[in-house]
Amino acid sequence: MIEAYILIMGVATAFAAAVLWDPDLVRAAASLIMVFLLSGFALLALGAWFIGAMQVLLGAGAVAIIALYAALTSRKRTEVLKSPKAGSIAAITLGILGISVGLLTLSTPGTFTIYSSNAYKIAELLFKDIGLTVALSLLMIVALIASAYIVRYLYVRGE
Amino acid sequence: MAELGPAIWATIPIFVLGLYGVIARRNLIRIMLALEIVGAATVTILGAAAAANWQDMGEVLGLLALVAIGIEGAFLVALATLMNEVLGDTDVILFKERRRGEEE
Repeated sequence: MIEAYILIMGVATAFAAAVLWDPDLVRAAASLIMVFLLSGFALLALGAWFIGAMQVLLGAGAVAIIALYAALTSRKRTEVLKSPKAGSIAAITLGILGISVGLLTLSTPGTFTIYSSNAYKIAELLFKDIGLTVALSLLMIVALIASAYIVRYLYVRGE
Repeated sequence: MAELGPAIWATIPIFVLGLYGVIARRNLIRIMLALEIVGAATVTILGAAAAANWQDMGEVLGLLALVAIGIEGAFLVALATLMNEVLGDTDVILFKERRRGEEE
């Protein structure tokens, strides 16, 4: 199962590279849908079907579609604008990240066993144990979407 | 029995690519796509950790991360629409330069 996971994530990495280097924004957004779909399938291969299904439904079905909408409504669709000094900054970031990943894998022990998601336990955890966090995150969604609409409303009013 | 380490190593390139995109691109929509990649990698790592060690807590945290990606996506789409209307472009550096010019 871990072999399938690694294989699928390899393909997803190729699509992630296409998101960054494909000049057409719409094709890049379509590649993002593939990244979400493939990472969801990789989780299914490990037995974490709940979060895998959520990745496919919410990630590929909602978040990536929002990104596709943004790409479709953009005025300049075919360009890859590069930020100045991107190479050196990115190299430093990758170096720091490589070291931190090494530390992360050292300090995160775990062995894959035969695992299957338990929806009952997840619901219990979500609505009983960390219910406050969930409620706060829902409030944050409402607040952020409302703030986005307010920004838009103020702009239209300003015209 | 496979260890969690290789699963994290298989996911980290996607995470790094996403971060590179956030740093190296200046089109807001491309930056948004790169941020979504970072989010997808985070959820995948949390899901893999759930299968290896964290059990249900890993999946719940992954779900919350997905909610966070949704929030970020909605907000950035609104911002990109606004930039398209005001500036006619989604280039963040152009936006910054114009703001500087207006201030001077």
